[in-house]
Amino acid sequence: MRYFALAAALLVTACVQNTTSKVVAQPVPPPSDRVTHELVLTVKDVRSAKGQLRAELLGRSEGEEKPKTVTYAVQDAVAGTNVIRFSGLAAGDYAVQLYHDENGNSKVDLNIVGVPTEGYGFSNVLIVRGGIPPFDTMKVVVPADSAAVAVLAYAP
Amino acid sequence: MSVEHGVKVDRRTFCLSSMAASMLAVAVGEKSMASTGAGDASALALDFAKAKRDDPRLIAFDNAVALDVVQPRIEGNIPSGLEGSFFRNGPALFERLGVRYRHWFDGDGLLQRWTIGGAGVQYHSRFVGTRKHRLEEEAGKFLLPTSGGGMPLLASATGADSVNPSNTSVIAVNGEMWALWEGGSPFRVTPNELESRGYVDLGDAAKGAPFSAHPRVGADGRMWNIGSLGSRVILYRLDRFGKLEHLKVQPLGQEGYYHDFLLTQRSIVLVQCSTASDGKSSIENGTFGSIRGVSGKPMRVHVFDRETFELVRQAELPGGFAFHFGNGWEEADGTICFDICHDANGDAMLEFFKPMRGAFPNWQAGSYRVTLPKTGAARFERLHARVEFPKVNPKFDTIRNRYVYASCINDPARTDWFDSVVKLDLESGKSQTFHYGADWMVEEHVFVPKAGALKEDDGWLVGTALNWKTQQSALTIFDASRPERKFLARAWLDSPVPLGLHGTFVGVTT
Repeated sequence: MRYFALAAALLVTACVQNTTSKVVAQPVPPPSDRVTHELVLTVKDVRSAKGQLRAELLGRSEGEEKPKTVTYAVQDAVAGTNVIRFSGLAAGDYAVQLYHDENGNSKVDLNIVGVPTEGYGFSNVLIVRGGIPPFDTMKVVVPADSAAVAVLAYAP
Repeated sequence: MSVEHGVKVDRRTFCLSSMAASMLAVAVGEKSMASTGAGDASALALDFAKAKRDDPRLIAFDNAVALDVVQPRIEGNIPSGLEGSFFRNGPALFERLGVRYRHWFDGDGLLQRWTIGGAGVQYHSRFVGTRKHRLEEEAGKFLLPTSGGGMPLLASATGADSVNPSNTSVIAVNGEMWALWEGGSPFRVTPNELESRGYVDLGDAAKGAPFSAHPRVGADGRMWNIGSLGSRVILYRLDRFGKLEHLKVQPLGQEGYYHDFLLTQRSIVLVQCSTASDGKSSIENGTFGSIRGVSGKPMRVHVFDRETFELVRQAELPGGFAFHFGNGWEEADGTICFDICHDANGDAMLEFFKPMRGAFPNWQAGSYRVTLPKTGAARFERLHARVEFPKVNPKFDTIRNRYVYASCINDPARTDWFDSVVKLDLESGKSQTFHYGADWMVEEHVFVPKAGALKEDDGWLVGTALNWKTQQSALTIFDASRPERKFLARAWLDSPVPLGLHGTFVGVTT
């Protein structure tokens, strides 16, 4: 079981990559089979067009216990549904954790007890349960071009 | 405004917030309720319905409906000079679609307003329109977990305010009402229409952080409060307009539940119960089920400077459990004095699972006078048995007071609820009691000072109670100098309202 605080740490890491409003998908190391794929993440319930969506793509290779950061994506938010594309991916297991940086300060804002005060969500997670879910819960298997959904949840 | 993040964000931080344990409970799919007997949420509704058929007192813990009552029947005469509104909050929605909450303190908050004045009495009640309440109204079923555990999570929850029932108290701040819980933010409500306006914005650091239901106000109108993080405390100071002035997290060095605190002219006095959080129980029974008494553990007092929030000193009191205090003050030599409702049963929080399954809590708290000299041992002197909801003349908040008013159990045979109000004299140790009678379940009563009064007890005592026999709730007004005499006036609703928790009186001139 992981918690907000951990989420916070990871999401803060995600914002270090503060670039333009375009999708930034950094190339991954060449996979052994030399075939790359695209993961398309549909992000629902984005509540405003303020600021950016900041996403961290995690990947876990076979035999590895812990997932690692593969790349980050930053793009201007649109109210409603947004699409984030991660391309150039080797086949494998991936997951996305993201937040809505509404005030554009390039970090996830937290209250004094470490709970995000900005909207956040995870691939494959339609109901946010407070903390970062286990990798296997938000895992997207990418055998070829793949799609996944995340729903952002905001503190009331 | 200054904000001090005296805390490193880590997983333990989150675990200890009241919401977090609920989340944890949900995440692991809790099932067993054996340790509190709290029961399965679906079976509880049936158990409660069955118990209520045989025991009309249990209307006290049934679902409420929002009401508007124009000119309820008045018995006696409303005293001239008493003009304003009595507000009360309390848990009042416990069941949806055959599913019943397991802990009394989980019900959604119902705000009630009794308006007293030249035009007689008016009554209005509205549920606090939290996101939780709105989503569950739309769905027709419970969607979010609670501090008593056992509820599914069917809607996203990001933090404490996602599950905040805003059900514990209500205060007036800068022309609006704040409905208070203790695990999350205050919620703004309009004083006249009781319309919901959303969570109070105390800034990002405080958003969704624990903020207790018992803020205390100094003579200059500034407000102090605490927020429980278990083994740490969030200390708050707000200006008289409700804006955050100072926020700081301080370590307490040990776990221990706390719900209320004391404010003197110099200090914040925090008293931790003799409890610890049982991690396994929190999985099974939510946060409330995890708050367990630790035998042999004293209560721990922490005194903080109310301006700097620095720890000044610590002390110990006899082991047990306390929700509430009436008032505290500090002598010139640094001696701190206050009254406490103290129950030797450290498992007191578990008692309030019982009403949800059709039984009554076993409440044995006595009122005690506590004296903490600057050095040396504390004095702990018993004033009265079986009391709760201590209140004082608000003009005496933070300064030396002589009288404390409380609900109490007068009839030794009563095992269900308070049947009386009592005026305690801290100096003589004597008490004056008005016995409502066997048909009544008595709620908190607040003191309303008379305009221009000089004497501490020159005012009215105003409170609500439920007559289970006639199935009606009523507001009763007493002469606070002589409450043992017959009440001055009583306004009767035609229907019962479940028992509320805390309230406040807002005068037309205040």
